[in-house]
Amino acid sequence: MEMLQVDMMLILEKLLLIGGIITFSLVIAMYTTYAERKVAAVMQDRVGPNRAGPFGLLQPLADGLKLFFKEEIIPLTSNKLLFVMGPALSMVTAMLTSAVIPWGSSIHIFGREVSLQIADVNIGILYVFGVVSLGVYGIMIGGWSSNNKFSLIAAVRGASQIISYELAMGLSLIALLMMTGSLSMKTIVEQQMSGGWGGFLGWNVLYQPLGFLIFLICVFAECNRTPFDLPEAENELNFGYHQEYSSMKLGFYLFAEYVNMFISSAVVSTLFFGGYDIPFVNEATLALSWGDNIVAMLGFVSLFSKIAFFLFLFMWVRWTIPRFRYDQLMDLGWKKLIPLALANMIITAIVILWFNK
Amino acid sequence: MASLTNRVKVLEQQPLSFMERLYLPAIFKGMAITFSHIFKKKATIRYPEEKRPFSPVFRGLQVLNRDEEGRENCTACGLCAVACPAEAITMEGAERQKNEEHLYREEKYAAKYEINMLRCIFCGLCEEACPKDAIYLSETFAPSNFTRKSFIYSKDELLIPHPINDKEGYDAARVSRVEKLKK
Amino acid sequence: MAEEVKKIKVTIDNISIDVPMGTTILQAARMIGGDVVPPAMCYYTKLEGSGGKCRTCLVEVSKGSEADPRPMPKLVASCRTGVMDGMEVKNMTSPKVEDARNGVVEFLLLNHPLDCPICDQAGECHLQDLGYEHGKQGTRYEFKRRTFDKHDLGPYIQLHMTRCILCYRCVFTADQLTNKRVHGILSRGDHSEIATHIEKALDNDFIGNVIDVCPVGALTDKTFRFKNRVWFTKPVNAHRECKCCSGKVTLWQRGEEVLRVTARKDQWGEVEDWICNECRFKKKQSADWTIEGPTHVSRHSVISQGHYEGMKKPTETFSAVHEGRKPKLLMDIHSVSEVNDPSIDLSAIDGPATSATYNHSTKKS
Repeated sequence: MEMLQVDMMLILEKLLLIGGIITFSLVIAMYTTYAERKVAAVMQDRVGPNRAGPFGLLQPLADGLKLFFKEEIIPLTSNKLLFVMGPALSMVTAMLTSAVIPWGSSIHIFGREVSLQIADVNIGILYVFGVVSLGVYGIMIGGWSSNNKFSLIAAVRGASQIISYELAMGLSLIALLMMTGSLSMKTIVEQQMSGGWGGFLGWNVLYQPLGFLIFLICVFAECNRTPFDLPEAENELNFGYHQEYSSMKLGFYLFAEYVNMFISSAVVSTLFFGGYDIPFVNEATLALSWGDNIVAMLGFVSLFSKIAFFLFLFMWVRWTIPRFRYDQLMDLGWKKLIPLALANMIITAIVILWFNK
Repeated sequence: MASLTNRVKVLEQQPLSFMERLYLPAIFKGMAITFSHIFKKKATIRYPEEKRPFSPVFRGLQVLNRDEEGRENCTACGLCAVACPAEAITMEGAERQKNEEHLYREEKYAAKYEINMLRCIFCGLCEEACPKDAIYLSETFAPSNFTRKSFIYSKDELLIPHPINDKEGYDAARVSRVEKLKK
Repeated sequence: MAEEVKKIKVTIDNISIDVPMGTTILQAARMIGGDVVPPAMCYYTKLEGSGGKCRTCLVEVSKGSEADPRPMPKLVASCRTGVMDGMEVKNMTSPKVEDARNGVVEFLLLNHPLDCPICDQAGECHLQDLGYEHGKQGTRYEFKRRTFDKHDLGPYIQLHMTRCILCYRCVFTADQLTNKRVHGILSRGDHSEIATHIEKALDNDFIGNVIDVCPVGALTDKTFRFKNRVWFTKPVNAHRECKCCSGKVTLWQRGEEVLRVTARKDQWGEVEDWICNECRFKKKQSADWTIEGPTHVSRHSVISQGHYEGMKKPTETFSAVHEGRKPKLLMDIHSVSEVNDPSIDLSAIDGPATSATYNHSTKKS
């Protein structure tokens, strides 16, 4: 019976955290769409949305509302169940990854230490990979069940693209994992925080620049963002796998992309940029004078600004670089990134062995 | 093959160097360009608040002109209608009666004059065809509306305000374009 | 034919033709046709004694005849000069003729009010064509153009004396078609005017033909006055049984309405068959006529802009496709547009439409 002694407070706390993070990522994703349009606009010497609310801040709400009121069309020849499942799956897998990301160190409320991470799984990275590879099913199912040639081609493209780039992604991470020796995201962050200059020198990007680059490219590909947005290629596949979708089902697909972007940015920041580490500040000494909670919040702000930077990078790249051709995409994935990642892994291994000797 | 002109320039295409094949420098260069555009002056004109000044040759809504005494210039000669490539203009003429000299400038006048604004392409050929300086294109848009009906403009909508009875309206309607035509 | 008419050879603008003795240069040129034909404002084939007044048909005779090859010293009026054997004439090839004709046009337009926008003749006016081909951009005349007191010529014919070029065609017409001419040229010189002596209405049965022979807009049809521009009406050949004339006319229609009836005209703008006043002024209904088909209009005329000739009206396929269902019209243009109001039958009004015509209808609707 003791095994079943459940800490009700823990469940409540986790539930609150889950609810908070889901709401938070949805709001962020919403405003990422707004940011995307604004960034695209300013990079093209335009102004961008500025009609709904001050500075157009209510634009995402208006867009969402519009999508809700659109006519819901399910093609006659589609597989109804799968057709509905596609966007749902996309959305769910996009949200799931956020569970293992440490959003900050712990805070103290009512005498309890509350970790700002939903689950500190010791195989956190594996979990991320597992969930992300499920994400391809959203695209596959959506594209296949639409019963439309373009959608199917897009879905097949998406699947093979994600599989190809997941390989390089995994290989680039192995080098990182050899250094950290842990799969837990929290441990990785804490290891980075212990570096010199208030943690800055511990950032993995300094030790794994090539690994970071490969990982970043793969993340772009995983998120189906330009220059790797072949599954939705507007001009050749006519919006690809979500061609047949309308109303909020389409909204879910579009939304999932932005949630994915947000989560990927969080993962990149966590693995390579010290997560909630504030650079050049020793959190432990600061916590003594300011208190744990404030430092935890500051850490969260730090993480968030890193995420914001990566989100901007996503958009920046999108409005700079044109789309790959499919053979170029495959060429880059299999012939360039995978050998590079392998080489990176071997070099890392040699260096580690050298220093440990 | 012999070249047709002596201006042919043979381009030597060399294989990409290692740095070029990396693509990364080119990518960073491109990103620097897009980033620099964030700080450039925006080309957008926020329409309802800001308005772009019309070019002096802008062709907008048609106006039927009156002379200084407020008499209608139009004599329903039909040249605008025959010049109109969209066949948007129709009219019916009538004879001026004894007591109507203050209304119409000549013995014939347009009793009915209609322009179908849905058809009009604002080419300005009516203005060019008019021998009486009776129709000109102003610097206003045809306002949008919900019904097709409201786009068939009759003389009431097209006539310029009376220069004596409604001086303000007349001056407002007599835009720079008319001034220019008078010269 | 017992008597063989002697043919003589004449060359106009390097084109030779054999014509019978006694032909005028103008007639010879018309036999050749095309661009060598000099324009004529006063000459009318069917009117005896016409011609020689307007001077637009001036040509240069570069060789008098085979017998006397000297050129004629001055330009001659081709309508009144007979051809000689071996005569060589220059019309469009002579810069002198071109120059003289420009001068003639300038003189003809000296007192012309240029009120084409309100003139019913516009579009079929010979003076307009002449001015278009030979006219200058502006006039050098600095004085006030002459004006006249208005003469009323009765219920059918409208006189605009300011437009008159004094060609005398209407005078000859009245002389030769009617028993008693009641109008003529009064006064002399600059004051010459077409008028009746002490106002009389022109009411002879055939007097309507003066409208057709008038080369300008001086005599126009009062029943057609201001009703439409000629180029918006559709000319069709039609005929009817008529006691006093051939009954062969051209109807100028708008839709089914007959706005105007004129005699048929040949390629020189001359009447083919004279028609009577009843046909011209009284029969303003399609039902009165047997319609033969669209009149041939030269493509150089603005009247051809309607492209009625050879036009095939596409058949309505809607009801065939939709099992006999009639197309549903969503908007009746008459509910929106005030122009071409079906409640106003313009052809039924005798004179021009006035404000009363239209005010009446607006009250009704």
